[in-house]
Amino acid sequence: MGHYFVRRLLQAIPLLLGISVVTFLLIQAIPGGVLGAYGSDVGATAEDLARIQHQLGLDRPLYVQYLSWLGRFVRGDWGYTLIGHVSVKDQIMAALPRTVLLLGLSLTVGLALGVTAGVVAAVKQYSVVDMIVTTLSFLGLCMPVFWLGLLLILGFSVRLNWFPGGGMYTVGMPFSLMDRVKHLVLPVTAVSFGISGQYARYTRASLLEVLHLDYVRTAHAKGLHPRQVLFWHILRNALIPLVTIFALQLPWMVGGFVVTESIFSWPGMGRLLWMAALQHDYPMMLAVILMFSAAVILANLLADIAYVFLDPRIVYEQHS
Amino acid sequence: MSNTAEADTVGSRAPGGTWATASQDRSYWRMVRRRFVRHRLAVGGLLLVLLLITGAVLAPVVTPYDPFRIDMPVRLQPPTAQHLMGTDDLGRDEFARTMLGGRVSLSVGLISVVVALMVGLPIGSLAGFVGGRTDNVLMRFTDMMFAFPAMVLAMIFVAILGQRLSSLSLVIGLVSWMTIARLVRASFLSLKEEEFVTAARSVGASNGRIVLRHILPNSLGTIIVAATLGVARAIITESALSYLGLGIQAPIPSWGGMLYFAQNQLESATWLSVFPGLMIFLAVLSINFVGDGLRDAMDPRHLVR
Repeated sequence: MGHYFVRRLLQAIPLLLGISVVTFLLIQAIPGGVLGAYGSDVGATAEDLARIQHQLGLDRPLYVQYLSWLGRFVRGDWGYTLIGHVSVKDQIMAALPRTVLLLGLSLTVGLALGVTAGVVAAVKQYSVVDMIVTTLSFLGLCMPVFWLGLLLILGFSVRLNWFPGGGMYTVGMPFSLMDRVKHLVLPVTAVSFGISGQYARYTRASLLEVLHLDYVRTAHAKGLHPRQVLFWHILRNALIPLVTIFALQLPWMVGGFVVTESIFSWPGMGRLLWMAALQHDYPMMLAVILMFSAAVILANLLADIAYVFLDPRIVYEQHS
Repeated sequence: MSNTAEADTVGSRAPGGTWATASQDRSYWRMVRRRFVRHRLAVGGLLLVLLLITGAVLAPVVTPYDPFRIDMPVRLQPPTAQHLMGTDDLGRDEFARTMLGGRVSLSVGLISVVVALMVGLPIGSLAGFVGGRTDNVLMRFTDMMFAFPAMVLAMIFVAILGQRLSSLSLVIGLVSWMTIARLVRASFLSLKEEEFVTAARSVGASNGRIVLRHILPNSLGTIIVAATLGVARAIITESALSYLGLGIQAPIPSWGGMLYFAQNQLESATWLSVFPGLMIFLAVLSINFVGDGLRDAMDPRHLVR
């Protein structure tokens, strides 16, 4: 078991390296190159650009550049942004907890709502509740998060003025928990609507497959309380595939998150990446993309590990 | 449940006609069409898609207004009989712009899926058919591309390739072929063990012939459904990119881009942030209905209710 974890963890390293190479090369391929960010400066002469190029080590062969960047990155020196010249690492370290907060809350709310709705819909298949859940979850699937976000801001911020339409706290106000919570309501609603829609669909489908299996009938026949059958027999099996779906959906979710943070001016990782992409600020892009990819790889790893605990039938290769 | 008998008879063979003689193949597609037509939501979705496409193609005909003409005296007017969806901050007719905006979203959606097929199909079929080392290398590469959040990868590609319609389609295709590659591989892996492939090989069919004539037709159902749902996803990605200012550039209207500009008028002009979003939503919704309908129609085990 422990052996398996270690091996999977080691496998993640070449994957991350591969991703860093691809990202590095792609960024080199941006027209205007790494200096594109400076190129638009009116005052910059050819000599200036050559000097900057030398300072940044851009006149060296590509693989040398990559290796020296990688060496610095691994040691925790993530460089400075081209625009504004602030530390990439400081900015990321400030943004990361904010993103974790927003994503964590949205996931918790979305999963809790989605799974509950899916279970109810499956148990009462073809009922009114089932129809409502099925319809709502399909809407959640088709609703672009930025439009939902815009409508939420329009309704609850502009019109009703219940919640602020963006940002993380009211500028110039001393720390207040209530204020923070109010700023979270709309973005969390926007993100979790889509998430809960997807999970309601998956949960319902997964439950319906298990619901009529023999062992469930046996459990009922033994005279167990229906609730006991649901929680101890059905859910335990039906919810396992959701773990895989969660890991597979994560890259897509991260993408939606970049957009959400931009709509609600939430100063997290997604917004950092957006600003960096607009300005072609490559040290920031590289670092944020690597962080996102690492998170996705880690989530997949955790999903595989969670499987072992959730489903005793799964045994990864035994080494003699 | 009047079609139980029918489902039972077709259920005895794999979708696409495992013993694909010409006549059986034709009858399979006829069945697919019959089952699709019976799927009310799917047909409704298809009609809506066609309506949206017609609107986008005939945009200059269906409205007398020029979507690019600036007319300051009528700026920011709410929807009226003259301006069905109101006017924007430059007095341009929102209805004309929304219709025209459909061209961007719908064509990028379609072309990008063609790109995704052109990349995903060869990779998936090669991995699934050849197997072994080739499979391993190709699938590790696919896994790696999967670990990039598509939106994030698209942002870099946009910076490299530019923000024209053609490059946006290419970008979205290049970040979404992985799903197709995986599905095709899985389908090829199981199909190549089927008896009809062994039979074809034993009569001396070449690998190319086996793939093109025997395996590919049988995975067509999977591919068509994945491609249809892919269009819906591509439309969301395109609108999101445009919304972030990384898509088609103004003044050419696109649904996502219109929403981006509507954000500045959130308080004074509500309608500007409603209609383009509604169009994205309707396009995605209807394409998803079509995709679901196709899936149900092509899977004989599934009863159409």
